[in-house]
Amino acid sequence: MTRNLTLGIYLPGKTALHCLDPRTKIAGASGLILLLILTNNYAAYASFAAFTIALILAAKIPLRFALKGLRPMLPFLAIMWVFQLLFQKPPGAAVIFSWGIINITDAGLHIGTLMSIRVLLLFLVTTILTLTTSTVELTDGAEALLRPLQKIGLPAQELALTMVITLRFVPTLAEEAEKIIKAQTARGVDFGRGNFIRRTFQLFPVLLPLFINAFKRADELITAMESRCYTGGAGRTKMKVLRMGRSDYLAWVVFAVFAAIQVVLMIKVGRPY
Amino acid sequence: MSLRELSRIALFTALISALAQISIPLPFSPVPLTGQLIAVFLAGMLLGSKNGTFAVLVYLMLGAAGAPVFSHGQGGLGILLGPSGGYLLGFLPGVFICGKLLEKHQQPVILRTVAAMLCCLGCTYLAGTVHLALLMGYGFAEAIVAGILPFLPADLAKIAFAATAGLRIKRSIAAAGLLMKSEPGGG
Repeated sequence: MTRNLTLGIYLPGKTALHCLDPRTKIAGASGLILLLILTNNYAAYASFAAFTIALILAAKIPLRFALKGLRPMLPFLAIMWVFQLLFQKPPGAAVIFSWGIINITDAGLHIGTLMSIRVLLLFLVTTILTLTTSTVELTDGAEALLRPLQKIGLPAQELALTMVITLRFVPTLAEEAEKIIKAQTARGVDFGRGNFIRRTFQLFPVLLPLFINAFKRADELITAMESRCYTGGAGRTKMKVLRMGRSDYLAWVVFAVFAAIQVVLMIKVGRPY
Repeated sequence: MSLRELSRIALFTALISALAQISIPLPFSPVPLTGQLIAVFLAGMLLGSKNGTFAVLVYLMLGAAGAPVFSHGQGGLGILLGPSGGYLLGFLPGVFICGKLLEKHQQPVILRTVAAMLCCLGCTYLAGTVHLALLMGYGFAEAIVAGILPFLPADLAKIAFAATAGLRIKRSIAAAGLLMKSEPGGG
């Protein structure tokens, strides 16, 4: 929790990608994710990977930042890949390797590899979005995109305000938890000792005051907001108004061309197994 | 949404985020014990179905927007759509059902509380496993082996913990006069 919460994993910058309207970026990332889910062959994945790398270069993101979050995922992906290799046996698939009871089919190999590539690219695309857009911008964008849902009862504006208030309180509560842990340690609670049931229940004297204090803080927050004349979401104006510009329209053209290429690749090449 | 609801939702979202950072390594499982699920159970129990769901929704939206609120200070849409993202999405129906089952009762008995939290865990597992299976092209049995069994013992312990803690917190806030009129046991 030491990292700056309002920035999240955002890398400040001034590239074209950073300056796009957050709505364009959210919708574009969603479109790319949809394309990725539909992709079914190596050629289409290769072209997708090329596009992703182009985006990373265009945003001037150092590669080590883009890949940082991948590391904890790798062992998981490796296990998944082996799983697919061992258990994926659709009828009619050719056995390419056989040793004892282990039979590996070509379909298993292809499915395992394609899925792993998909997860890696999925992660990269979404990482580019969060690396080039700050949390507050994304909140604004999400609020704007969710506003039509307000008619069916989703309080988009209030949810966006709640997000911002939460950001303010996470460090406070984390600090408070730390204080309570220290206070209880001073009173003789031995955290991190004993079997896991005992360890779980050692959280008891931490959680109770934390939750009860949270309710008290919520009441204090109401007083603070009411004394500053907060009257609800209706009629509130923004300091920064979102506007679509020429670069946004250009981004849409680029996306449409890329999507067309991907669809052609998916249909022409087809799945390899 | 009243101001009171709004501020409580915000505080609970912050609690989920803060508790997700607590992590106790377990000797028999590669998955460490995190407080995230405990906070989700308690959100359903203490805020009720509607506000509990909003608290989880805001939590997921914040995480998707890149704030490091998921376990181990992770954040970003990639986590939400990655292998373990289904569990996070499963919190939504889970917390709603948990809240629904408990909000009519001022002091629910322990059995009912545990049952409601088990339903919540069930939703989480269901969404998590289906997501994992779809993402990785798994079969049913594989998804259960990879997606449920490693988590089960620790999660059951969390339910036992959250149920006892939740009942005590509920008693304390009722005694301190902090319940809303519309809330179970308030007014």
